[in-house]
Amino acid sequence: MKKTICIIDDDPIYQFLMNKILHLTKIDIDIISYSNGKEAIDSIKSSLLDNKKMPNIILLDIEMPYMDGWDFMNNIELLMDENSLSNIKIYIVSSSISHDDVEKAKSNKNVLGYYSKPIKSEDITEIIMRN
Amino acid sequence: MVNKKKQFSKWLYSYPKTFGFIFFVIMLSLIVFIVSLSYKVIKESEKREMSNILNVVEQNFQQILKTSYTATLTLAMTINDDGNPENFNEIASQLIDNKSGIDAVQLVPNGIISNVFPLEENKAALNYNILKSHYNIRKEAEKSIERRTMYFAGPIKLIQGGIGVVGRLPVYKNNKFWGFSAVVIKLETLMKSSGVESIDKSKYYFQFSKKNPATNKEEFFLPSKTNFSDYYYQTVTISEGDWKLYLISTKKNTIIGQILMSFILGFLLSIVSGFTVYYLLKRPAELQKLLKKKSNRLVLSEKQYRALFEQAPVGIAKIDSMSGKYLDINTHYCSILGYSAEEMKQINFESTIHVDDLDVFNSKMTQLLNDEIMEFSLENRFYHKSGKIIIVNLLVAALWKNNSKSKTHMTIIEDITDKKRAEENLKESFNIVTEQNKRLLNFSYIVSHNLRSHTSNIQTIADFLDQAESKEERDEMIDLLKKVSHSLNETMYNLNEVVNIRTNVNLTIESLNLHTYIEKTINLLSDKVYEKNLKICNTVSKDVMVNYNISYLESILYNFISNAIRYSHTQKKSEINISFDTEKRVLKIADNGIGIDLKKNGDKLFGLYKTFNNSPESKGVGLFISKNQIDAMGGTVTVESELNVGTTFSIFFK
Repeated sequence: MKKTICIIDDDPIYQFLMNKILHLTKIDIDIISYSNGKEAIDSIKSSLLDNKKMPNIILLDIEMPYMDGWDFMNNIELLMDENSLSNIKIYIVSSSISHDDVEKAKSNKNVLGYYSKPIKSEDITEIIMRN
Repeated sequence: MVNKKKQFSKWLYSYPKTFGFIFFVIMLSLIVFIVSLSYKVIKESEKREMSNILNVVEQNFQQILKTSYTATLTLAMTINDDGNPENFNEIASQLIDNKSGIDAVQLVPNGIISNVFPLEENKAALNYNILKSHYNIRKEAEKSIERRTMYFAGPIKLIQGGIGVVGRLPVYKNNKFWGFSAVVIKLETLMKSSGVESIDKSKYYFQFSKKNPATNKEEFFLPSKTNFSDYYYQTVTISEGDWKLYLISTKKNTIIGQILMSFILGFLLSIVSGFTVYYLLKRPAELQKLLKKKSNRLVLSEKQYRALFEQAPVGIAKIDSMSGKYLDINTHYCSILGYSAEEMKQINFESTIHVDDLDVFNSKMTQLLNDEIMEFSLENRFYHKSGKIIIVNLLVAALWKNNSKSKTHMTIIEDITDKKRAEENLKESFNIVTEQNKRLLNFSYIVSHNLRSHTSNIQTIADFLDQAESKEERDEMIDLLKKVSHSLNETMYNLNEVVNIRTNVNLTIESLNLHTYIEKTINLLSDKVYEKNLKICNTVSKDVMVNYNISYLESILYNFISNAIRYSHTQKKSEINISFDTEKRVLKIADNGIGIDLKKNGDKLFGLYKTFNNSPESKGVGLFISKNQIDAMGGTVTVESELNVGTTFSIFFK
């Protein structure tokens, strides 16, 4: 079954570039992009209701309007617990090099990795392959 | 009067030694006087007693002499005209029997003892011629004749034995010496009848003497002492026999001894009294000295206390707890509150306390008055005389003991206004510095974050450019690079804006018509208003003027109104109301948009949001800049909001 990768980032140029990178890896994968956490969580909730496919991998930015990365984490964790969604793998990709953010990511058991921008094409390939 | 008395006692206590000595002298004189008086009394009574005894003895003697005289006369009567005695024995026995104290009677015609009674014991004397006897006897017999009256010879040694006296009466017949009628009394009998032997021999004794007619020397006849010149004695002379009767005191020094004893005792008593007076007077003097020393110390301590009270660098006052009146107050206290000491005594303590601090003070004071606490300290505000408010450290301590009726307390105040102000300034500075540090850190973080997000994009695009195989692909990447460059420029512009607010110090401030500037802004945003089909209602009166920097006002209005448009609700008819409260000078921009979760985002709302890329939804830096501009103009901004109901921003003008 085809995997789905979800990119949550408010920078349209970044979204565009990520799409491009994924195309170039030639991996057969579905790509969904959201420009903030709220958009993403709303969409995932409606997919759950409609019994649609859930994303397998989420690449999450931290600094976003409306709902930032950490708020999104709180919401998705709640959703995962309620619906026993254990197979969504979340990675943080941020331009923040703040020590606080890195530590916070490490201490969260649902965050599998922290990448600072720009993420390399090999890293993305590895993430997809691993899952 | 009382003063004189006091002065006298003071003077008395000052010379204890002198007064002790004076008392000793007075006492001694008094004792000497009493002793000498009593000596005289004793002496006098002794004299009287002796004189009485002597008197009795003399009377007895006289009685014997009288009896003897009567006896000799009676005997003489027995001589008849012929010169011969008749009935001699009969009459003589009657005379002797009468217990007259006469041992024998004689008739001695012409000096020759012819008749004697009782004959038996006196036989030896018969026919003895006394006129022809030895000198002494003869001489004494002749004395009777010379005196032509009765004369007693002796005591002499009697021919018939023993010692006795002989009383002879010369008898004349027809004017011619006939002879003697005589009585013989033994010395023993004489002494017995005279009562000499019946006296208290422990006190006195008698001596009996006569001058020897031959030698003219005094001879003593009693066995007691004859040398009594050192003793006190009294004497009586009996002329009928030329006798001398002595009554002599047995104890030579009795009286002197008694007096000496009394005198010594008196002397000792005087010394003791003198010392007692000295001691008694000395004690008050010592006590007075001690008192003076203590009072001096007290005066010194009072002086020191006063100096401490007056020169203390804090305000100290003694206050009547019930009325709140000042009883005692030091200079510093007055200067802290700006009043003179006289003025302070006219005002009530509580009237100087700041109204807002009265409740706390009163509750503490109640506890103090109820003896629940003995002191308390507060940081209170007081009114200075000039009306300005001063901050003081107030310490109140009760000066009464439990259950005492009159209650006063001590109040110590320290003016900490300057300290407090400095503290507040420091705190404010600290807060500003902390805030600035936080902002700076945040700012550097934002700069780093925003630049990194662009550079990471540039790096990725550069990688693609390298790998691009076709011209279309390369052109696409270059277009993308242009977009990134534009965003970067925007970011740099925003960062510059932020830096500008912080560096702008001398801003031009003008009086601006608020209504006009709101209209201008609405015009600028007319496209978006049209696009979202919303209604903006500007109710700000046309005459409202505000003193503001033009570009700040434009920027602020643009930011808040465009925000309200941006977050309008999609599912309902959007409205934005702009109003001005002239009283509070507050501009309100209210929308019925999607609202903000203030609980979650309130703290971030006016903060420098960490991203301000060119995303159309980004509220980013706008509110942050606006808030800083409002602050710079001396105003404030607040927000009220409810999700899906709307948001109201209130901008306060100075």
